[in-house]
Amino acid sequence: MRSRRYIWWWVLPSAILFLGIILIPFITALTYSFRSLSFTTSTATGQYIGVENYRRLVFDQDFYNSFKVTFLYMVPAIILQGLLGLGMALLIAGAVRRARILIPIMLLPTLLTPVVIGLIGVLTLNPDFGVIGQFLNRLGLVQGAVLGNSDTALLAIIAVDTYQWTPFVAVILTAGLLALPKEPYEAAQVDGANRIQTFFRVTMPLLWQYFVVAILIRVIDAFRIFDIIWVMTRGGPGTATEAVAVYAYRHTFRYWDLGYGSALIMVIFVFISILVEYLYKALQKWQTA
Amino acid sequence: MANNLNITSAARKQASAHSRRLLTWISYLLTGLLVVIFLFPWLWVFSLGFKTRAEIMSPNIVWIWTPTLNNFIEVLFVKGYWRLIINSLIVAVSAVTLCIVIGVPTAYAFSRFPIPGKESWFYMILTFRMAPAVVLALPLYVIFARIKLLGTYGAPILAHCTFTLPFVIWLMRSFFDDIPKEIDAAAMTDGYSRAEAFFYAVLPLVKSGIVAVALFSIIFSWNEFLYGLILTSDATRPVASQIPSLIRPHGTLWGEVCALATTASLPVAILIFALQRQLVRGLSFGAVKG
Amino acid sequence: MAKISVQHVSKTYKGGEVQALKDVSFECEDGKFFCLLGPAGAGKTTTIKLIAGIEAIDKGQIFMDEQDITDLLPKDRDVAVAFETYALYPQRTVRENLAFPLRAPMRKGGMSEQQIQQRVVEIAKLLGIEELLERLPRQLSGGQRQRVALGRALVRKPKAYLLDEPIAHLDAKLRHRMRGELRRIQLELGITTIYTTPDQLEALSLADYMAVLNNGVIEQVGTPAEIYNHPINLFVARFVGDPPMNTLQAKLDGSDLVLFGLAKLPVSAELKTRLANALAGDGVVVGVRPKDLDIVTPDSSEALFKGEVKNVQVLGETSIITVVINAHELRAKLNTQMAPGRGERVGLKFTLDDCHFFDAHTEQRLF
Repeated sequence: MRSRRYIWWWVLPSAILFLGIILIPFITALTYSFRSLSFTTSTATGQYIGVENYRRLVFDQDFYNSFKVTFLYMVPAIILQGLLGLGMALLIAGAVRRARILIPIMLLPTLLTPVVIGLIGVLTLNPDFGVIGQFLNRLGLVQGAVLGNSDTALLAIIAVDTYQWTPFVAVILTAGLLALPKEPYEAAQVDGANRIQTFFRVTMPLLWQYFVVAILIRVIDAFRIFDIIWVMTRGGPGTATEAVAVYAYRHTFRYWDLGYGSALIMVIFVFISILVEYLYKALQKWQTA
Repeated sequence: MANNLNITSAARKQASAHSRRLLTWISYLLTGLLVVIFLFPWLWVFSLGFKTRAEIMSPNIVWIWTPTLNNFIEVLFVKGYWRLIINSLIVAVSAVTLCIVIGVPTAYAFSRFPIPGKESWFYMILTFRMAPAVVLALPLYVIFARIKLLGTYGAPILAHCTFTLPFVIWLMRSFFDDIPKEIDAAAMTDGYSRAEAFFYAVLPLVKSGIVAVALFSIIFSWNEFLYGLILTSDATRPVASQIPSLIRPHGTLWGEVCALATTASLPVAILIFALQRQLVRGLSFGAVKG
Repeated sequence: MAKISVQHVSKTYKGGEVQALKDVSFECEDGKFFCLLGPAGAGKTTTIKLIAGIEAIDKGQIFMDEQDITDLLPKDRDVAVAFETYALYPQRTVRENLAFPLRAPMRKGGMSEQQIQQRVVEIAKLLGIEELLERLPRQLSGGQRQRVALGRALVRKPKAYLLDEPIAHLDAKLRHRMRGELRRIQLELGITTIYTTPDQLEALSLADYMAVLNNGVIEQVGTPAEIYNHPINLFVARFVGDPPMNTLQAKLDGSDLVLFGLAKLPVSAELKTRLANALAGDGVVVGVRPKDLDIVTPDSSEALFKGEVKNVQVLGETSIITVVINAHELRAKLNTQMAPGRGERVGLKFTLDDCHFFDAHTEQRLF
């Protein structure tokens, strides 16, 4: 068809921008990861050193620590958000049907500036004048600053993350609940199933795909968490809350170790792309359904 | 006998209707409680912006006080941080406008044309959308430094396109997919070229979708922290990227920080309410029609 | 005004998995009304889309007059399409929907605003939707939407109208009226029209020429009379005509044709030779239209079959009776006053002149 030639005009501007700000920078980082490149080390002059950066990464305890921290934060946070989100969705679905305004209200924590969320964490947990920090100290659960203690700092991050993202999971599941077809319920009623049976046999299977998408987005987000940690602890105390994105930031923009930092970036990227593949399939299945 | 059965079943039905109504009220009550729980930390932090330093630092939390606007006046006008809000606005609006203008036709092309490797492109777009900012921040810093873009508005604007453009293309495609292809076909047989059909027949149908995508993108851009921090100078830095630097180990002016945070949150809160109907769709990448 | 000629056109979907059209060829003379008749999924809509240029052709060519339009953009073909799915612009009023084709940038300056409005009102009156001009499509019923879709096609005077089941969703009475209106408009304007329908009666009553489409293949092209009187194969024979043609398995026994192994019909030597080839194979299928069956008393010597009336369907002046003979059913269309009652035993007769002969294996007409 003659019109096929014109297809390119529709995508060309986007393609150029995509190339300029995403693909070329990405490939630049990829080449850096094979070079000795640093703004702070005088011996690093940009020469090609093969997989040396990646070799160094394999023996880097702090690198493993950053993954450990990420998982230590991610697993409980997502379990918590999944369960609380489900409970919340079941609770509010009825009310949401009547008052759609509840959705934006619930989503305020999710969509308002993460840096401000971090600020809320810092302030509410302040041992001297924070609403929650004071309370915890009075109960004797925590001695001194929550964020200054390696044992409790990560718990605080999990708590703030849960505060931020539970509404997100809940709202997605609420949308799922409101979109559920009526027929299976009528069928279940005819079959004489009770409420609990109906929930596990009818609601959960129908809701499952919504759950998968919400959880996958959260898992990927866990590898992105940066702003909140930066505001609350800057990765500390020590490396107790140094998740992967924070760790990569330390090597790039504080140590200016471009070669090693790029190798880190590539590893994170590979992780993300594997996770995104699952997300992509989940989204696609959904859109064609 | 049969009559008896009917009576009991009717009674049971009535009883279950009663208990159901009670359950509904309990769920409304709990919903209200949840709303309070989620709003409370916000309101508390925002309240600090209206307190004096002594009131903030008081070991006994002050619940009743005379609000003061001093923190706002000090941080926004005396220290001149209103510039940061303007910076955020410039960066967000420019990036989103650019991405809408070039991304919407691309999304349409992805929805309608047999583009080779379509699905692979989409997978790639999603991957870069989901990658942490730190992945591209470093190479962008180096490249922008080389072409002398660092410290200008251009740097954060282009950097914000790295997540705005994929988002626009991804979500707009789902809006275009909802419009039957016959609409384009009808316009084209009515004497319109492909571009004219897009402009006159299809675009008016996705107007609200474009607005939603734009507002969403503005929120994300407004909230962005890392690019705004490292690719800008003090003169061009957006507000979100500046707030953490105001928090110091000692002597932080909490009242002013909270006043600035409140000011910075206000436009986003307004946008969230404006977006009401499209929130779910935007958050789930278009998978849930909302 | 133009002659449209479709030549050896093939189209597949889903990367070749689904064959929508297979080597389709037909011609529609200038100014004629051409019907594409076929069941759902036969490829009617695909044919319309290919002629309009909405979808690309895999193989073959389409000509308008002598010009090859196969690769032309839809807007340069100057055809108007009424879509089966309506494809109305949801945010525009009926008035603006109707005016939309006249406002195309390529026709800028062709008509003044006043002329456009005049034409819109004219076409709305013709279709009986002038009361609805300020409404939005979602405020209309299905039948009203379909009339707007038709109006949007008719508002221009293009080289050809392509109407895809344009009155299928109207109620019966309105459909009947619109059928007449359409034919009148077409005759008046003399614009070449290609019209699809699954309704054989509609095709027979409207068309100058028609084609029967089945599974992406053209079964037969001709005038309505040719197709009704000389169906080229069993598919066309059964699809055209209502109620469908009765088909009877036949074998030769001496000089008699044995139908269903029950009735004997003596045949001439000449007919025997003409049927010989087919009879040597899987046999012959004899087709008789219900209107050509007559009832007689069961003990009449004329009766070919004797059976019991299973059902009587009164259509008005005529009735359709279903007669069961052993395991077989035959249908006859009779004057209602002559029709027997249910459960009555009757005899059925017909003559050789009314018979259509088909090869039982190839299902093709024998002569």
